Amino acid sequence: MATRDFFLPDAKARVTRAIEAIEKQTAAEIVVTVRRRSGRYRDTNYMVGLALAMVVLLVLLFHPYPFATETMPIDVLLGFAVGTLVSANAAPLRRLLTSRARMRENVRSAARAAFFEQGVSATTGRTGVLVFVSMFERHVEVVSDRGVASADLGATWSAAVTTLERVLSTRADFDAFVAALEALAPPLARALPVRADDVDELPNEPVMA
Amino acid sequence: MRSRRAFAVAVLVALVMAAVLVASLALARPGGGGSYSGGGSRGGGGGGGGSYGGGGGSSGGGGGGFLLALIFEILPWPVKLLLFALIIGAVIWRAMHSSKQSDWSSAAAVPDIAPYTRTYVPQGARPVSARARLAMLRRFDPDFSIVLFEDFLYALYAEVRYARGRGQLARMSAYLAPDLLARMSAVEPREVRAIVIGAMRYVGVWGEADASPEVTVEIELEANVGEASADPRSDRNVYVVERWLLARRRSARSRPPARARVLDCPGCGAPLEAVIAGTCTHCKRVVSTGELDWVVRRATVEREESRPPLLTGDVEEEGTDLPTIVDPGARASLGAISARDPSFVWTAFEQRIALVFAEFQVAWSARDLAKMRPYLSDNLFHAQMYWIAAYQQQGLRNMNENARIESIELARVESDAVYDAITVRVRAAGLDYTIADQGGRVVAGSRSRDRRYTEYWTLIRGAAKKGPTRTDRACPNCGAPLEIEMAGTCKYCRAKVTTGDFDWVLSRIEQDESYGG
Repeated sequence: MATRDFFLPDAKARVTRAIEAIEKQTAAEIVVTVRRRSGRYRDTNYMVGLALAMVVLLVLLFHPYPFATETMPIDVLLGFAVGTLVSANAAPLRRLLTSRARMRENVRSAARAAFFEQGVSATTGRTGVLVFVSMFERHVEVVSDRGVASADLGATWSAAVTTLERVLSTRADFDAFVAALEALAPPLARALPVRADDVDELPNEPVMA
Repeated sequence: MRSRRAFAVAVLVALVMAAVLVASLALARPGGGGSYSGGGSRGGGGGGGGSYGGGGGSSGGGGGGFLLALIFEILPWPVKLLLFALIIGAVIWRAMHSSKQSDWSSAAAVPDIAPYTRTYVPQGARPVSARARLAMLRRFDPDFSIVLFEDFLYALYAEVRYARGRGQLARMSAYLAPDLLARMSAVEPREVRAIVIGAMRYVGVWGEADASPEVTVEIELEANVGEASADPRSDRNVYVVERWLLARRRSARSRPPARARVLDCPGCGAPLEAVIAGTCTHCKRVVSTGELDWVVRRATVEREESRPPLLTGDVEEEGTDLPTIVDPGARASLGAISARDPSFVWTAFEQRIALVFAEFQVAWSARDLAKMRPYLSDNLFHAQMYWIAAYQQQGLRNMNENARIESIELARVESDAVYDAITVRVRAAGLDYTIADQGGRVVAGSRSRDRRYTEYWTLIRGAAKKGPTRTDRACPNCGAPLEIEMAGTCKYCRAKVTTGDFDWVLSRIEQDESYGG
């Protein structure tokens, strides 16, 4: 797993270069946002904690060893705490126990909020495209402004977007992500070619968000 | 994914079931229950151990049982604590490690930008506003400043009105085209007591982009003009909407900032009295052609009606629910300010607005002009002076209690050689009512019902100024306690702090229903 690859300085530099390369070919304004997660999923942690607490309780009640009764509540509570902490710090376990539909919905909501908060919707020609990467959910959401009409971009665009959205579903492969990002360029270049007076309205340098 | 989730749930259920099974086996053994009940208490550990040992024949061989006992009983508490300390240590280490993984974006040029939850972006490509197009004049005139231009217009409008009221319009010949001067002079003069410019809108701008030798601007001004007459009882306030068409040669150069607000001979700086019929007697130049500075070519009164100052009327808020007019380039321009001055932080700027808002409301209710003086530009301060005087004359006091900002939205950012200007829409609420000085009777508004309103506030700061935004009540130049004289100068360091040269000052307040972007 290479989630950390997405947060290295080199990753940000590569994304910047990729954006610049795309924007040399198209009037679209590409913005890439990388988030560690789009939801907190605390209930999943509590569910794991509860399960472990129940296991501890059953052992304490039914195991033949003479456990001291006065420490049982502490042991059960500790079981809950350990289970919760383990889940909170074990992303694969938490991801396993959370429904994909819920995670996708969270990513979609966060992406749409970021689309406005980061001013992607404020380009003159409404040609902003937000590529929203949410690492915990292993999902990429592509949000396009009204100036980037899917109908004009054709099947190539749909395929590129689908590939990009699914590129992290099996593993967090940064190289594959950059390749999928760069694959957005050809359909965009065809439908929204760069103009002579094109102004790069949104900065390309990554900053903390 | 569903199958993986089902697998995980199954694993958990299996764990629980296994625990139950282990417990059931333990219960089935004769020694199990006896030893549990015989354990009695933790204090009888030795006895318990004996019981466990007694049952060992049947349970001692269970390695799982031994491990559980090891964890829950046999291990002394210090070792248990050590185990938990190790777990917690691992968690903390992991948290510290993951804290290096900060969210990032290639677009967030302004990292702590105000939330845009209620921001409205007009649909479709929005044409560049007339004001923004006028700002493009900087391409030909690098010193052109839209803020200074507006200050100049405010000053010119007031001066023309005052001069006309006194029958001295001829002294304004440097700035009025000859035919316009003749027409305006023909109107019977009424002495002007006070002028408050409520809003200024740009109607159109021409010639700023093409090869035209002349740039023309049409503006619309809303003003309340207090006109005096021989009989004070006949004094009246006139609500005026007036359009002015101004022109200037594109090749003209803006004056230095220090002279931009001064009305004098555009050619040599001689007093206005030296300019007769558009020709300066000092420098001998014809200065009313637009060759050197802006000249008013046309002035049209769109509406003029007498109406008493609305001091006691309950006027409904009109534009509170209108969408916010956001300039598409605002965020990028704000990012440019941040890049130029890394110490500029949006949250501090918001705090500055909150400070200005709080001080302004308190000062307004107390009719304390000195208290609001440090935070307002000259034009805005004079407007407040007029209104406070109007309330005082009528024995009224407008109260703003519990005023609070609900949100601040970025609307526009303008930078030129002289000023940075940031316009925000301030949503606020509070008790807004007017009482009579004598008796304290409420004559307008409500003392118990909040009033929600929004206003567009423009704050300006000198473009050369760098450094953190002050959010306390101290002089932005010397840091002394804020004591500002009416002229806007600090009592201690004598710096004029209300020009925006030292920190952000409130320059314009426009009502939501009249703000045009």
